[in-house]
Amino acid sequence: MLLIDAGTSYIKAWDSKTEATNVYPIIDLNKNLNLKPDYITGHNSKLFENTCCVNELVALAEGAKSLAGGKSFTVLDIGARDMKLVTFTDGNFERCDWNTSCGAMVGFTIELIMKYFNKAPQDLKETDAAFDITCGLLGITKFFDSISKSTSIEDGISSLIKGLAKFSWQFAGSPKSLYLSGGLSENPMFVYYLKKLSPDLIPLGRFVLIEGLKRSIKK
Amino acid sequence: MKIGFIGVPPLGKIKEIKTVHPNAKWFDLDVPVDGIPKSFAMNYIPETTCSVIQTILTNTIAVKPDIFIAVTGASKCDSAKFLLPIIKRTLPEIKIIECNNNDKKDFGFPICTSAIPLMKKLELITNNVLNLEPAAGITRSTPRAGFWGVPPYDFSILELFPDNTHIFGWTRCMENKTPNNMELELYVQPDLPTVFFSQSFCQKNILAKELAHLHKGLYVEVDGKMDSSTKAKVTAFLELKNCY
Repeated sequence: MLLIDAGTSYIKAWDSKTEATNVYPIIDLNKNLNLKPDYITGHNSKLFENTCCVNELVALAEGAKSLAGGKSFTVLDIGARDMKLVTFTDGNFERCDWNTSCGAMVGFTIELIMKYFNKAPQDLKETDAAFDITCGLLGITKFFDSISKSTSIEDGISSLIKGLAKFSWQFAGSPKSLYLSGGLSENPMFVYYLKKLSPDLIPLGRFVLIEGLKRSIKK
Repeated sequence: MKIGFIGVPPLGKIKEIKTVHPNAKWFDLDVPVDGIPKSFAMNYIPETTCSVIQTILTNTIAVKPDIFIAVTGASKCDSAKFLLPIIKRTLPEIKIIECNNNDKKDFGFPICTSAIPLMKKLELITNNVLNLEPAAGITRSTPRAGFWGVPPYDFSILELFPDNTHIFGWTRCMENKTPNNMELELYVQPDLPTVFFSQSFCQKNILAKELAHLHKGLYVEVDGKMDSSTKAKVTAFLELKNCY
């Protein structure tokens, strides 16, 4: 059985026969990537016709219940295009949110800028300055504005990431404890800044929705 | 004779005009009309304008009513008020009757609390603005979910809700014929999973977000047509709250 989380920029896959996980850039769909999922979730689910689909916010909630310790927690999933949030209290679903357009593009913006300037997280150092931003696109505007004022590209990217980490934390309700899901949980600079705001931050990696799919199927 | 109106005009004003113009054709200029794209309004107002306000301006220019009953202020919104100079400049032949609606008599809101599907409820309420009698013979139901807000520009959000979804907020005020009733607008049933809806760029977003926070509901703002992610967000909330 093949489970897929078809995100905006990346497809995350899990094969039950091999128990192997794989990540494919979404553009590989144009390069003979032939996946036949049995169950699917994610923004690009509609690219896979006739497949049983699970709502991605539901998949996040189920996945977080499986991976998070304790019965009261908040999980924030940051994707290329959007952010999703689920809070459980005493084991019961309390609230959710999903930031889809205005205030989004957090993951995509960080990846875009770092790739464009050929920078890795280890090239960056901590900065005191954080851009005050409410979405990735506005962040790009501030980034280019800052380097026009002689800020180095590394410092500009660091300020951008710090600003987006702050915005993400505020979107999550400014919690002290937070589980982080999605590709940005593998970006040490982003995790560093977010952990300064949420000291009990626990990155869960990018397969939380796949875990949620497994639980949803069992149900 | 064509009479256009926005919001909920005062009952006294409706009676008065119906008496003077008994055969007039009435147009609810808040309601989108197929074939009249609201984007036409962009020639006059900023893109960061609520879809309902864009619709009002586009409809007014398309319909060219002889009389325009412009409900503005606390019973509608200030954005509607700010459209009037544009309408006066571009269509000086229209007679504008600007008014607020401070009617206090409660007509009740049986449609809001009935078992009628949510889409049908909104159609009944928005088509009922000019009726001078409250809806009758409708039984109250036990709610499974709540919808708080104004009638949306795109009604397709309403298809996502289960039967027995009760209506709160300004739409309830509409049915009650008291559009300037803050106490009623703020009320939602405690512990009922409720979606707090507002059009993007509408001041009511402030209220929607605050009430969603207080009641642990879902705050949703939509600009124009619903996108698939926003639909999925509403569906997930209702599913996780066991409303289906």
